[in-house]
Amino acid sequence: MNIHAIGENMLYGKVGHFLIIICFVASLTSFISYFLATFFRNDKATANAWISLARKAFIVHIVSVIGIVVCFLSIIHQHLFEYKYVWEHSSRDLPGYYQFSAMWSGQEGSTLLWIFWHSILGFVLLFKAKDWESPVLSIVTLAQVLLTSMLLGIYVFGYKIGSSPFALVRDTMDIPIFKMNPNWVPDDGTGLNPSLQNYWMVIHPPTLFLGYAACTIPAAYAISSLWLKNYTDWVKPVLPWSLFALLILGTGILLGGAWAYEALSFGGFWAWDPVENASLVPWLIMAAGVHTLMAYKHSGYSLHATFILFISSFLLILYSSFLTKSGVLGDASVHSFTDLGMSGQLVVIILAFLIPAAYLFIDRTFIKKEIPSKHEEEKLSSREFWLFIGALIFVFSAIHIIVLTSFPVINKILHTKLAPPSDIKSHYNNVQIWLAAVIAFGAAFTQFFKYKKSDVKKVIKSLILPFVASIIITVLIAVSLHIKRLDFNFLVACAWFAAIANTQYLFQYLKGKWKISGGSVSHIGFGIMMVGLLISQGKQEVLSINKFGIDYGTGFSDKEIAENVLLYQNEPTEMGKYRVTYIGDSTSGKNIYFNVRYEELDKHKNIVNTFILHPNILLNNKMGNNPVPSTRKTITSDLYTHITSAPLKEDGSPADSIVQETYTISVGDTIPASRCMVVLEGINPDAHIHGFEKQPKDIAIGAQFKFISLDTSFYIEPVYLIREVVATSIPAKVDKNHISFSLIKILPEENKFQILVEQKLNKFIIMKAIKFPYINVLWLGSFILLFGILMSIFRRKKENQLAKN
Amino acid sequence: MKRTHIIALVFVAVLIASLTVMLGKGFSRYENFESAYAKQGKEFTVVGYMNKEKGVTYKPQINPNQFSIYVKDDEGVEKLVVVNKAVPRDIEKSEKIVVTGKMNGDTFVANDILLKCPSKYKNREMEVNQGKSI
Repeated sequence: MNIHAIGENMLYGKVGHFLIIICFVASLTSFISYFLATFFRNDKATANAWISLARKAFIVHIVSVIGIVVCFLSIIHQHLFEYKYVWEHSSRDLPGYYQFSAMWSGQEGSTLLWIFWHSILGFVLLFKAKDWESPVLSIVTLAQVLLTSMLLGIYVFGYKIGSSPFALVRDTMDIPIFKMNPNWVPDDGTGLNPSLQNYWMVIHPPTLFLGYAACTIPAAYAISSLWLKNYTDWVKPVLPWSLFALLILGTGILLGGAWAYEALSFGGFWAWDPVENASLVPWLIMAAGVHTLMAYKHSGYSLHATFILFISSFLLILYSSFLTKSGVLGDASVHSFTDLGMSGQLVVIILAFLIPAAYLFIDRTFIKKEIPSKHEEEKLSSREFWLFIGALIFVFSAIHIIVLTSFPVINKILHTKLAPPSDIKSHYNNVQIWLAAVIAFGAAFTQFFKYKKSDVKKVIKSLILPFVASIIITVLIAVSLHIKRLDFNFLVACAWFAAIANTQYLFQYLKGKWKISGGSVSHIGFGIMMVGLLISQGKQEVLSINKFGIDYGTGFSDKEIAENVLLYQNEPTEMGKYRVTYIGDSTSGKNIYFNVRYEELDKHKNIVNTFILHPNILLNNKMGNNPVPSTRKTITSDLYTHITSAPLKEDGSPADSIVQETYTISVGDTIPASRCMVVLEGINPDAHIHGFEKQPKDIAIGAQFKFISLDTSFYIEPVYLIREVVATSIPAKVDKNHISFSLIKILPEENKFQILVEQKLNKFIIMKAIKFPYINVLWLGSFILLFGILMSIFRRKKENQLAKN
Repeated sequence: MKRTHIIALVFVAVLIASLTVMLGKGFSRYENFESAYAKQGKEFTVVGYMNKEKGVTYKPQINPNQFSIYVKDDEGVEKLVVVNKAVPRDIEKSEKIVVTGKMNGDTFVANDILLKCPSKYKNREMEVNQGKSI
């Protein structure tokens, strides 16, 4: 281990690795001390001694985490490619701000990010948790012990524990060059995956991981409450924490959606990819937990549910990291990590929390029977009843998603061969749209119910106006946007109902008191968001439908599969209400920009508006070229254009192409070509050749082709001429299409003919254009939803402070 | 039993029932070409790898939304696979291919394709030349 190759910079790695060990030992010390402090909580002096030690260890832990981050950023920033992580995830030409993206683009880096956020949240808890400090921080530090162990990269009894971010290329890879030249250091890295070179990727992962870390805190409080058998005092402090987790995780997920929408070539906000699902499910469960916690706080019901939900949300975060980091999703997801051989360790981490939490819950519920629960029924007219039902629907939605996402895991365990449905997106949508609609419906009326008991007639009376209004708006939308699907309209109606009813509640009952209206505001946001989501995604219009008649085979509708269209340079093509022309290209550094002109036409084909989009291809010979879409944004819609492919020369610049192809056909067969086709309708044994004097002994055989293009069809006849013993092919040309057909051989025995087709083609691009209507409604709704949660956090924090004073 | 408990139980029942139904028939399964061949027209997911010697046939001038490749499944059976999509980037670099579709005669007609590209560091021959040594 002590070989020091010349030219290597070992300092950061040595310090970094040393700090990881310090960090691990400190978190372990802190965990044990907090655990003992909790255990001896009745003996104040002993407990305080342990707490004091735990705090010191935790501070050491935080400082070393920050030290690791600094070392890690340094090796990336200084391009030290002797480190495997830097070599794999960065390169010399990577701009500074994307060096942060490189930091969390791999497993070790993202784990480090998670540890970092945990330690920051833990630091806040040192000051804020008060009486709950030792149990809650026991859980947090246990998480730190286990997560830090994933960075250790050491072998214990032959098992590899963790994978160090400071591992060296020469220690981890068996490349022959090290045998010849042990001093070899890679000159450049393989570079960051180009699709991650996007500004959203600078902020999405840190937000998401802060969300992940935040989900630990409500679970830590829940477990602590069960542990200490104190079922009341945890409610107030846990409420802002659970809202915080909901806010940050929700923001992280939405930023991921924004990234997928803008940068990925799937052209979608939400693709139901397993990795996306894995982060949505804990959020749904956390949302359910926040609702049952409100029910418990005000009515005393749903405590069991709250415990289960908060703890499950955290376990699902751990499960989601298992899914993405174990490599188990290999066949199912486009962006899961490769296996680093830590699946076993990840399972251990899940069990380390699952087993004690399950034990505590079962013991307190069924054996000690001491979790307070009410024996009389909730009334149908009570808010707590509907909050519980709402939570159940969240859970239902989450279970549907997680079971489908877990197919690869189920297959591994049961040795089955189940594959998700091929059209997975519509499967999810078909189920989840109904559930979202029911949740929106509940969000509309539940606030009108009071806790314990309310006057149903009065509630219904208040709801008539928003109900009628939402029906009218839905009908108007359905008619104007031609929305025919029942489930789409149902969701739009329920979402409007939620938005309008909550607006009414805000003004009528809360009288515009902003401080306490966070719930209503987030429900309004949820309604608007659902409307925007449904319309922008459900009514997205693929403009680039390929219109050339080709048989796509059975089982596919043309529309589904013909989403890419080929555009020759300077040849306009009409797409929807646009006339689209590929007018040229330009190169800037590693980017090739394709200039695509859109001319918006009115009914009389007059140009009313012209704009040019510049979708580009980012050249990357190590990882493959990456297309970057270009979007025309207006208030009412986004027009999204992306290059599916374009023929490129060696140097990367777009190329002309000549197609030469020989077909062997019989009478009646069709030969497809670009933007045209020919059908061999018959053979003319005595063909006439234009501008050519035939001699008596000549044999001239003509192939009678019907030439068909989009706007015209006519007959052409290439001729096979035999004079004496010499055979000549006289091609038939169609200049407009730059194409020629020659009859080059006759196979009399098979009654077949060989036809040579030559077509010279201009530069072309294959592109896809999609219009997303009202996408801004989605962003607006999301923003209001998150803002509402933020308002609730401030309200609950303020309440807690007032209660203390 | 309280009302909420009953509702929760109903939910669980619906969930189990719907999952059973889904698992029973609604889903495609991972198969190989041979078993897919025996069940013509039924939807399957096949895992295999591309025969790179035979290359990709893609004639975007004629149909930009279709290409064909030869895929060898895990049992070693090779079939022509026609995919009704534009050619995904890096298909030549893929080490594993997952196609979903139906067997139509001797051809597998796929409407979805997923590539697994090798982890970057396996492609290291390329990098070795660029190294420096002191």
